[in-house]
Amino acid sequence: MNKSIRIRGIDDITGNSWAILKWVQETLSDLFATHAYRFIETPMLEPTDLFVRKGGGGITTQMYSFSTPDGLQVSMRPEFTSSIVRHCIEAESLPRLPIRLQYSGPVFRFDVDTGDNHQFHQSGIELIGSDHPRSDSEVLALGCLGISTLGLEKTQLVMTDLDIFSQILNHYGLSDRGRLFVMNHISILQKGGDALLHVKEKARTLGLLRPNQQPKINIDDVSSMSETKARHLIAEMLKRDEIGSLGRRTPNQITERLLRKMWGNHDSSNMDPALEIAGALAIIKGDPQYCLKAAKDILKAHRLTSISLEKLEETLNLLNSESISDTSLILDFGLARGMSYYTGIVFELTDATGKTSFGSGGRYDGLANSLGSEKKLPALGFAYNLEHLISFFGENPKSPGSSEDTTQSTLVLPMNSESYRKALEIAKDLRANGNNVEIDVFMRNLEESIAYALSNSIDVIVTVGECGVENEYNVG
Amino acid sequence: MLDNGDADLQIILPSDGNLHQPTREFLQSCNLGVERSSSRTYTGSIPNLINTKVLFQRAADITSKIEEGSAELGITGLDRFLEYQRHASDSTIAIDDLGFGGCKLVLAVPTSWLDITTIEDLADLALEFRENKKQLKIATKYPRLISKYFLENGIEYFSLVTTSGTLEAAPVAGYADIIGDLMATGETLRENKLKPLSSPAILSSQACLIANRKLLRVKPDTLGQVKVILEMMEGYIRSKQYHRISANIQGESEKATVTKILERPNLAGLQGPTISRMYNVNGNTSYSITIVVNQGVLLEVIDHLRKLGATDITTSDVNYMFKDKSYAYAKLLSQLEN
Repeated sequence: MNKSIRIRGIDDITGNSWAILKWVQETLSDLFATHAYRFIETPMLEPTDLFVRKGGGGITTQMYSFSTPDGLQVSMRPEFTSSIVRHCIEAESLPRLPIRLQYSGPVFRFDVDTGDNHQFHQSGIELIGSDHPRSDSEVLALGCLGISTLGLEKTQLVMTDLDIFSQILNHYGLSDRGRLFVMNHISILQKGGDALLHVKEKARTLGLLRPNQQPKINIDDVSSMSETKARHLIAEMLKRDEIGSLGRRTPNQITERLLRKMWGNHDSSNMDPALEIAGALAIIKGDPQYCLKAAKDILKAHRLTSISLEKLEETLNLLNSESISDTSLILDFGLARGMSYYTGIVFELTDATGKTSFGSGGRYDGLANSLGSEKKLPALGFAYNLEHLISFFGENPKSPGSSEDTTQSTLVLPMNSESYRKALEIAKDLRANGNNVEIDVFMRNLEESIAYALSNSIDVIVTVGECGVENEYNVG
Repeated sequence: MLDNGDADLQIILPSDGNLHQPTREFLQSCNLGVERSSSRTYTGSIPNLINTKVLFQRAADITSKIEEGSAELGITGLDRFLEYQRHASDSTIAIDDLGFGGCKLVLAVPTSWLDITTIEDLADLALEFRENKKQLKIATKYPRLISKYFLENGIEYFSLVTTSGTLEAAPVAGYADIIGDLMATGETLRENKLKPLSSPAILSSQACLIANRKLLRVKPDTLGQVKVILEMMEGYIRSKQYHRISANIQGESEKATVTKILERPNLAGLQGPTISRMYNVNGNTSYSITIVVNQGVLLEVIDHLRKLGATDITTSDVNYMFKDKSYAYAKLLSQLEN
């Protein structure tokens, strides 16, 4: 039999580690509560589809998914946001907007690159119902404030606004697939140099950039027909017996796509300028004022308006400088990487070097619709990675363990079987006076009990005889 | 007996499915034939290799059995190995092309989807589904390989339906839109009114020999048998590429005959011909030559020899082809060091 039956990367949390984690959770929760964020406890287990609808199929490779005994495909939560938005949609009559909610607890993710399992803790907030820049600045400020409340200094807030990219993609009228391609390749474009050429080459192989080569179609004659005739021919083909089931698609959907494919794709001619501008923006990073100017210049050079940049400017102006006083603010247009569900601002809170992410968040106005809501429900939020925060505590004077812990741990030791009842009474009194008390159940003598106390952080041993307390020994 | 190792080596073979019989035949060809007392017993032996135990397991379980260290070696499909191998695990591929069990992992869509022929079309369709608040559903027994392929091709919105039953029925039954499955001839797909995408296959798979590195490290005594197995397999697989050709050629002298043959070095055998004088009743000076050639140039070689006046050209299969060392074994040893 294996020595350990624990999953590597999913650990027990005990002793001081547990105390620090609890303290962080409570400190953050108290802070969020003072900003009117109410606590919500969501299930650890949710339908897999809930998370897939938000994060796409990519998230499925990171999730712990399985079937329930009655065949439902479920997953351990990899994050909280989907559950919270689901909760808001399900609430039969939404309370007056906005809704402010906070959460804290473990999430589960598998790291596909390293093969490591991860259970880690998140605390975070969601502000649902408002799309005003004020809500953006409130969430950003609270993100910074939480970290300084924990006693950590010199943090970075790195942010961008995806509306700038949306504006470009809208201007060129790219399809959803084209848009997704551009957004997913910002991280590569960010590298500058030849990156743009490589991304264009990939777009070409995916058929998103004009390859000067018509796609192969089985029914060659159709492309030279009039549209009416072509539609009629395709409709007739789809009616044939040997063609089989259409699945969940309608004849019309198949016809439309086929004709679109044969007669050209709007994306292919517009992808090129869209990638050029996205590539130029992606490498802009640094001081907010400098970055805003550089981005404006790029938009101007391509004869695009800078409405989206003005909104970002307003958010930055609203940010109360006091709440982010310990934080240096950096604009990074390349931060738009792989965040297909975010719609407005996105941000990351890091240590001074930018290497460790303490948490991240952003606006996701389209998520409620993706989860089935008929109504538009703008929302944004962030989540901290508590383990990452704690790893930077060091000699943090505010955290437990470093402060004077006044609670005394006591072992009550009945000296014989007759004194056990007396020991119970004494233990009760000690507990009433704020001690943590345990009674010996191992029939140890005093010498053995001292050894036990030393290895279990017990401060005092109280020996009890039939008449009451006999002696007190300070061990700790 | 080919070897006399001290420790017991265990090798797991497929007890069912398409790989069962070909594996037995392959080992027989490698002079490593397996004896099994009846089809209901799950163990066997290789009489030519003592201290070696054969375990028969379900093909689907072999990767995980090697991963958990139930045996040192196993034969399974490359598809199953890549699907089930855990990250940073102790299992490794010792020989990735045993030359049988060939098939391709492909995506297949309903024949009626006239507009979908490539993975790019499917990427487009996945987004069209999403716009309509649906997920493109793929039924597969290979969730890892399929999701990796989708993500590499820019498809983010999909959901996988994992099932161990017959996949081809999934689109008609309605629990998936398309399937990701192995295809040998494509006949089953056609019968179920499905067509594979014209994009290159996700994976070209065949049977492979896998090994547990950790187990081999702690049981170095088994390496003797492992070496025999790898040598024989490698020698047999390599031999399939070659033919041995014998022919009789009239010539003035041994040297003159050889010179003519060597005028076309690429058709003169791997290392050149072996030649010996023939004595016949006509008193002609004739030579018998033997060369080993790659099967790709067989007819060219025969043509070359004919032009030099060769007659009675015969060819025969090569049973094994051993090089200066076993490259597969050397590779495995280097993997044990890492």
